[in-house]
Amino acid sequence: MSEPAICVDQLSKSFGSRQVLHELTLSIPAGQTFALLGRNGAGKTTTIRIMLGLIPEDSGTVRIAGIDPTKDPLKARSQVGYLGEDQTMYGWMTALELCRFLAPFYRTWDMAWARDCLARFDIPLHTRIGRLSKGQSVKLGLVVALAHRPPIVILDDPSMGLDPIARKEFNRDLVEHLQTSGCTVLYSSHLLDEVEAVADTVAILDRGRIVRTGTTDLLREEVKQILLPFDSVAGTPHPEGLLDVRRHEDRLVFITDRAGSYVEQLVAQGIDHDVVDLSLDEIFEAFVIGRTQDWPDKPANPVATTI
Amino acid sequence: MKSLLWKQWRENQGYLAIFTAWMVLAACYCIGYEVGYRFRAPVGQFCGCAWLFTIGVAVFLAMRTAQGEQTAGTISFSASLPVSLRQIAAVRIAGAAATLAVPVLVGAALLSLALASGLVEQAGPRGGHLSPQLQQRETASLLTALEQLGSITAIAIFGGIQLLLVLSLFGCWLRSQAQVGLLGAVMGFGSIVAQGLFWYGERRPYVQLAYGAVLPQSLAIQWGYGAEHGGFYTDHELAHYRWVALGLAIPLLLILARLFVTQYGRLPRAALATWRKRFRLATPAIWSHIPIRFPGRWGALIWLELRQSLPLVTFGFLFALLVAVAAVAMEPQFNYSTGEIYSIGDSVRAEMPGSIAFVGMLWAAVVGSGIYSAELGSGLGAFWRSRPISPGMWFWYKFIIGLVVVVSVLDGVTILFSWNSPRESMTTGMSWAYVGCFPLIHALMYALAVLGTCWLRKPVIGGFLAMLGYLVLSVAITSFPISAALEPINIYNDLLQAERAGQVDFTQYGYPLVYGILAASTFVVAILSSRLARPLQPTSRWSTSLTA
Repeated sequence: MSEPAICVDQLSKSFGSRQVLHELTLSIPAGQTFALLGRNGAGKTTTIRIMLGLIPEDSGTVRIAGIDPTKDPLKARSQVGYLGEDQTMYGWMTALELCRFLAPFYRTWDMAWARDCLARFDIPLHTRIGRLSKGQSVKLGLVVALAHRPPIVILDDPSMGLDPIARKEFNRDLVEHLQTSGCTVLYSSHLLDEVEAVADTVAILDRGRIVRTGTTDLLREEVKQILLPFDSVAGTPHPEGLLDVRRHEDRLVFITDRAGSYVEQLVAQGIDHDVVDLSLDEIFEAFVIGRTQDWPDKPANPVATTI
Repeated sequence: MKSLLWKQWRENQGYLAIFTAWMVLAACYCIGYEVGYRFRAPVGQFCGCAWLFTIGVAVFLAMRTAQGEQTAGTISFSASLPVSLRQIAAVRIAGAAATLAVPVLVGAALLSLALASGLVEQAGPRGGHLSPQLQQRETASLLTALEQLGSITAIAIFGGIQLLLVLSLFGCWLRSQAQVGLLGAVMGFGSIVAQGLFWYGERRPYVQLAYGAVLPQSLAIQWGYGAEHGGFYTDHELAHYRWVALGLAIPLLLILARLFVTQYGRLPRAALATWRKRFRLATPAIWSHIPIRFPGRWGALIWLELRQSLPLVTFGFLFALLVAVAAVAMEPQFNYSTGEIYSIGDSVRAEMPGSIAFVGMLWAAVVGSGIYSAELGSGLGAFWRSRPISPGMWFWYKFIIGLVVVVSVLDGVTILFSWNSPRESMTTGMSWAYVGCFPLIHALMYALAVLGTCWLRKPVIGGFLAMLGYLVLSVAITSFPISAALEPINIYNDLLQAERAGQVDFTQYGYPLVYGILAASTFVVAILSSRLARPLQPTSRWSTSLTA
């Protein structure tokens, strides 16, 4: 089996007394588009900064294309195409000047391909970057992140600040590129809809910990919402992967991971239940803001509540 | 309204404390210097301090007043409050004016006490261009000395508030605090030139009255002299109808304040109308059509830094040229042996060294701050962070190319331009003394501004601290008779005097020691800056709070 393109093992990082990453572990095989999902402050950008060798880790190891970014950050960065949320470029340069300027920094810079991308993304060659629209600027950022044909691309909330249409357009161009390039992509975002369209695998990061990893299809298959009559809860086992629970009229509504085996138990016990499919957005919500403490230990008289 | 005043007080109280400390120290310096040297010129000395203070503080406060809310992103919040934005603007500008005026008044009060107690004395007022030297004039009565001090204080405050208002008004149309700061640097320096317009030759009281109503700072002038027994003193002169002129200036200041308040009230609408794009000059991107291929990353970096620093330095050179032209317009250059006036070209060439020497000190700091500030910010910072380039390479290419451009354009071009120019006085014409001194001073100013910017990540404050740092050093050296002659400009003056007497010798007057230290300091400051500029690590918390 080939070495993963990005390998993070037991990574921890603190800023002062605040621990930002807790023994984070993830492995991204070559050629995969991997989405790192998390709320603001979950630790996504810190993880990426460590991957780029910009800040040192407290403990754990990181390998980017087999390179330790702490020891050899420049070599690691030469293997990575990066586009960040807050990245700007020299407003007085044109798109073509920017490409010419960056070419000597990368041995593998492909100018013909860069020009091709600029044309495909409708970015004018000789217009100053300061006069481009926000959408065009982000797409230009993508072009310069990809033009040296890096084996690894890291996108840190790249479409932040774009309107929904521009975001969709950006993602369409990104998907188009990913289909032809075969590079490994780490896509960090908190916008679920844009990730859903491009990601093969998703990791949910919450308060510095990876709480779930899996393909998008697998997550949708394994995480379900289940509705039970409240008076039958007494005979049911506590779900192992319980993520969220609440009471709605005379029913208990909960979301659980590994729902398949739990549903089998319900069927085996003959308990009446409904299973609802969830979107990636709802799954993410359940992992990061779900409440599990309301699971009834003893059955009680149903109380009507509103959701 | 009470809430607005409270908010303004909370925002300004820290600055008020710092500025008051500044003027208290300045007053103590004037008193201490006078006690040490007994020139009887504390008011002239205070005039210089107050003038420097009001220009620097007016620029700083205008940046905050005009652009502070936009930079902090609170303008929309303010606009949503049940109080008009004009009222907010009125409180902001009044608060800024008070923050500028109170420290000057406190400094003046201290000096008044020193005069009243007899600790220091002031020579009688200077009367016109044929007036006897300060040392030949009688000591002024206490009442006269206090009136002189009161005039100086009022003129400094009026001049400072006018600069504050004009900058704040124009600042409403600009895009960032840095732009207001740059405009302030140009206007502040320009006001120094404009201030001297009617102070040469025969005095014209009514013209000065009219001019003083428009430019209050022109109602006073300072003349610096070196004393035979060592040390330097600053004499001052006041326009005859100064109080009338100040009275006439009040309506003008009120009109300016009104214009600012009106324009500030339009800010949110202007922001929505994407005015930035409408006012941006659409210069053709000629370089984009030239198929340049860089031989390596060093070539790309040199190209980048030249593209960034060369236009900025060229503006400085043109500004110095403008100052030289203005100086020639005020006082044409004479050939003392024949009595003929030199041609405009020769006169400007003769004025350029003096002009570039001092504009260059300002502009070296502007360039040092300007070329680092953007790339240390979050936007371009993120751009550089992900590139396979070491922070050291990034810093040193930028530093060295910026330095070479500053020294070669400001000093190199001036040396070539003015080498054969007329040398009729100590302040005109090119000299070996200039070649040996000012490029090193400009290099230090550039390095200090880079340090300030890398440290605080705020270009205007970084550049301002650089100039303040140099000034404090200069004041500290000249405060003691034993070290006064080692002040770099004084060494330059000594070298120039010797050169004009036919002797060029750079081993004299402490030149090797002082300028050697200057050159070494430039290098040390650069190393320190390179450590602080480690791209793109977050700004330290305490420096953020300092500049917030």
